[in-house]
Amino acid sequence: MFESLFRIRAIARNTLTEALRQKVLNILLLFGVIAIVSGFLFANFTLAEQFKFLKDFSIGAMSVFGLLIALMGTAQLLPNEIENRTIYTILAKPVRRSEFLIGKYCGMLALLATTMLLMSIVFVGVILTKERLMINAELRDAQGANAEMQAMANENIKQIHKEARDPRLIQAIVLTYAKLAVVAGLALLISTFATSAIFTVATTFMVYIIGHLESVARAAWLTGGSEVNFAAKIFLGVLSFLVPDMNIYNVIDEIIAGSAVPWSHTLNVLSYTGIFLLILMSVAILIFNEREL
Amino acid sequence: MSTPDSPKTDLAVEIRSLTKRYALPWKRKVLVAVDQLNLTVRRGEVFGLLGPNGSGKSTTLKMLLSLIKPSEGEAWIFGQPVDTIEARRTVGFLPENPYFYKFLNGDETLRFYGGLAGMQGIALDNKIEELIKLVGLENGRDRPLSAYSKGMLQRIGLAQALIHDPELLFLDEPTAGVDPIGSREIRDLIVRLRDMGKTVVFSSHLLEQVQEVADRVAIMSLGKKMVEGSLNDLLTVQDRTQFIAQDLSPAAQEEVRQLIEQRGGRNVSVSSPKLSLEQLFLKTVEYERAAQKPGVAKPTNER
Repeated sequence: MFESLFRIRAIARNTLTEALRQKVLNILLLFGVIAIVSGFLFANFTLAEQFKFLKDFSIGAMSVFGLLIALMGTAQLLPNEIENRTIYTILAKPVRRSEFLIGKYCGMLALLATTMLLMSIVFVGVILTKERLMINAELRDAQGANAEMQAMANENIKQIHKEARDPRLIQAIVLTYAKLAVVAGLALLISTFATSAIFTVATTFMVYIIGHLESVARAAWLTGGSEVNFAAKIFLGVLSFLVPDMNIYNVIDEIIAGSAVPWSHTLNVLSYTGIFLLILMSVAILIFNEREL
Repeated sequence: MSTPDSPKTDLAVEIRSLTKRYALPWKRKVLVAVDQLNLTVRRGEVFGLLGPNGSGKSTTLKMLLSLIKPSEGEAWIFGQPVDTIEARRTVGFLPENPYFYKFLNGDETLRFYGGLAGMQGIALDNKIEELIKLVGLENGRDRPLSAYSKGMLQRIGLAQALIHDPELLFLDEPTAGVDPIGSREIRDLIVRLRDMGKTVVFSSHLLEQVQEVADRVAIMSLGKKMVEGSLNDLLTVQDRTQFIAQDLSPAAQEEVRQLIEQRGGRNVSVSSPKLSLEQLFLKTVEYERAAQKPGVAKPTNER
């Protein structure tokens, strides 16, 4: 058991090193530009709107860049190993195929965590700088002004604090990470039987879209009364087992829009994610064990 | 437990009726890559698996490593079924044209493979030190593998195969694409490994190389084993005799020939032994290399 974890760690670390040395983190530069631009370009909007732009663009960019890495990066993991025959040398050592696959996935999770963490740091840096600058501006405006103006400035400062130090952003980032983990898991599962990385990317993307439409279809068909035929119900049942319901991650948008989303709901979503990942990995291992290399 | 049919633990490799078929549905045909192969490799011998491209050598090695599943038959490594993790603890493998991870340097590569075999700490450090010396890669430790030459890749490949001190080594075309000197070094290494008590199974289609190092060989063709046996037995032409002499004049040669014919020898031929092109190449290049070494260097006017 312990030996097994040791081998998984070795493979995960190697996967992370490979990605880092291929300069995946260069994507951070682009992210930094987006965060800064969205943070300071819209200065003539209201306070709340300015922060909403910054959060929207930054979390959105995190999500898109994360998706790119999760999709492209994971889709290439197995094909690269097979093409370079490195997988032969690894599996010729006392390593189980399940350990290899889990190690690869953990390496990808570590890469996504690293990227998300660094993007979050950039994001927090930008948002705190913006807070500082805006508060300074308020104080400057309030200097020597009448009591009414000063009271308004104080109100504004309170609002700036509240917007900039919104703890719900942590929820948004954690949920974004969970979504990326599911996409990476899907891509890994598909790549265990895919014959090319392109196929994996295309299929994963399709499943991702279906995952977004799934709950819409379910709502439309299943509440449609007795007219919905049996086949449609079966189809939807199978679909919801195979395809994760990606709409559960839409709460991210609600959080950014300013709605309160309780942590209990976030934890529910995370548990769903965890269970779905367990199913994904089990199926991936079953398929990969039978694969001819 | 021990039936007459149970695998023998004193054999390094035991293969019984191993068969691999690939269905080609679009052609409605079945390709038989390996056909009812029976083979044994004894502990401590160097075994050469010969055959043209596509004769089933690599497929056989892959089945022995459980990278692909046999359609029929069974195989054991030191008595362990090949699809167990225990079998792979005793095996090192160098695939054909290996690439490894380009972004790791020599040291990191060996550290990674050592970790996979459950090694760590000082034991791993010492082993890496020892292997780098054994394969002569002192100048490649800090260089990324993307900057390695073909010969260096083959040597780091050999080192990673040896990292967990396996008793048995599978080398798939270990000298393919390597220049004659590098190829010679790999052959010397195989001999050294045998002297260290390892069993080596290697595949090749370069016959002369096999002849130099293998104790026993099997020749495969179209998935079937055609011949198996010790090189000495296979290559000695039983009803022929050969003399080699130095400084024998043509007249003396004629005398000897007549004597042989008088004593009943038939089909006598007289000729001078020839170097192989490889021997000539190595002799020439090694002379040049030795001359380049400091201390042996010829005086020169160049700066």
